[in-house]
Amino acid sequence: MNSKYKTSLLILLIVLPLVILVCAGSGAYFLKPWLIPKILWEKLDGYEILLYIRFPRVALALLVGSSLAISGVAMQGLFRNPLASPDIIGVSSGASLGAALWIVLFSHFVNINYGLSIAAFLGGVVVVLLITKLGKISNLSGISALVLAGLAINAIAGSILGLITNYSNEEELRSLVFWSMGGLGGINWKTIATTLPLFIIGFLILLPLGNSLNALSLGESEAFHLGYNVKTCQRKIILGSTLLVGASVSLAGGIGFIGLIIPHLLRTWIGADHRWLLFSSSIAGGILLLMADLLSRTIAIPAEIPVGILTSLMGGPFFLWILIKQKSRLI
Amino acid sequence: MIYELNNLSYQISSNRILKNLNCKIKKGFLTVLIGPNGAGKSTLIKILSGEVSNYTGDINFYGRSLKNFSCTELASVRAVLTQNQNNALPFKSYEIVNIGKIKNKSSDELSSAISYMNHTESSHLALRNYNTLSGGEVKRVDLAKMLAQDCKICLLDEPTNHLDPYFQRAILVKCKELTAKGFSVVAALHDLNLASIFADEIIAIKDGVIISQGHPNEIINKTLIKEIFHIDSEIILHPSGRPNILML
Repeated sequence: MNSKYKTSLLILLIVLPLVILVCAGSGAYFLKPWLIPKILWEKLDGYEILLYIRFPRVALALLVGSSLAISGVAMQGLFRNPLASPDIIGVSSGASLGAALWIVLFSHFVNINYGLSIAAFLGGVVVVLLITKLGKISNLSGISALVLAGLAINAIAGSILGLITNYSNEEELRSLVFWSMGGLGGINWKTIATTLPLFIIGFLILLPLGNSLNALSLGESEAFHLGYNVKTCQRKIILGSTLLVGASVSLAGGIGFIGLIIPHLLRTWIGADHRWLLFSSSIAGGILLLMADLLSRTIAIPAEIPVGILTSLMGGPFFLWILIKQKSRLI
Repeated sequence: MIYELNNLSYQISSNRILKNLNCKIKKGFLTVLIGPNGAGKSTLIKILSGEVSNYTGDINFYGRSLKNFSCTELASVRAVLTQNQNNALPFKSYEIVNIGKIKNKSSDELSSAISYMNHTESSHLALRNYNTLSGGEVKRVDLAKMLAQDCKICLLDEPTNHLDPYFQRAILVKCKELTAKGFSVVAALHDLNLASIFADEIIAIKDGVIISQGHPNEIINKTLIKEIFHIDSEIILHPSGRPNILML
């Protein structure tokens, strides 16, 4: 890795703790960021708020933000297209459908902790299994089959979701809407801890794939010629990103566009080398979601805007801007 | 001997692309495949590279069946220059060359890549965005990437595509340099005169069948050109001592 990559990684690593402190300090009860280490150390006034409200939320924003960003990098390398994202293969909509089904059908009868998380994650897994199977049955190999299958799954999941919304009662509806808009509030350490293993496994799978992704971004046969087992690499990428996206969706609902914005910005800033991009996107994704969350809970104190709405509000125009700027080069 | 093809056949559904090929590809030779569009040249390159393996018959490669080689093993002995590459991600040219460098990675990736790009007169493109290169420039960067893989066997699928006459010639001079160093090169070419001047051995293919194989001086003649390409021609002597084909 050249020095440019090292410098930018260093900058991100310096910015990260600063953003964490500002975000942990801000809110209805304001704590000065530079006093936070002191408050924690000496258990001063505000210690409980920090420990049980602010920091779980910061941790969640970091986990979800980096998961979405790193999955975006992996998917874009896999599809060789900077506009690809986990949404494309249908993981996000599968997870959303799983969660919706849970809210409407099962939550009345079964009362287990984290049922929603499990349902959302399973939804994502089912989609991936289905898409892999479809690719095999139709004897279409390669990425285009995956994209087409993802398109169909997205449509099916979307319509079932609509149907569920249509027939749900008022209470369910509120829950569905709130969850589908995405938010980081009301989190506690216990919920994070139960989902943490999924995040860890996902990161451990994706982070070492830099060289494989570089080779794969030249095309499947190029990667083969360079000695990479293409099928294995693709499976790892899909498994890793499904784990991360499923876990993220289950904890924070639908938060869009981070997987698109972050990799794109970093690529424009420094370059496309995936060995660097995987690490830097993880950090930058966390930073972006932290700042978006800060905005979402301070812009209209004491009310809170769902953070998913904010990211989409920023991400949508950004997406269009990339499209206009790069025109045909993206296809 | 690097490759020995025994009764090699390959078909896609009911379409037979290659039919019972038997031939040997010699070590240290520049072997050129010629033949009309759709003759099976590119398919043969793909099979030799190990990318396509659902053929019938057998290919003996370094004394073992080619099918028994893992992709990692293959990558350490043969490098491939493929046709049409596209990459929408904004890699720099030197990064593309570096992706090809899979063994003996150097810590200074830029100068390592440039050392290979010097061989293909493309080092001035090192910091350019690969997406913005012209067809000919892309080919030269790709060739540098192939050299970076540092393999004794090079398979080139129409390496002179998109290149101007100067670089078409330069690429074949490069291939001869490689064979002089003990490398073996197999290239599919459309330019018959380049093939005739530079090849140590020509394999002429039509409709998936080998029509003729041998040194250009032995096999290039009016009848062969007529049979393969349906072109009337006159063969004259090139200053290099090789046959030169004049299309009539």
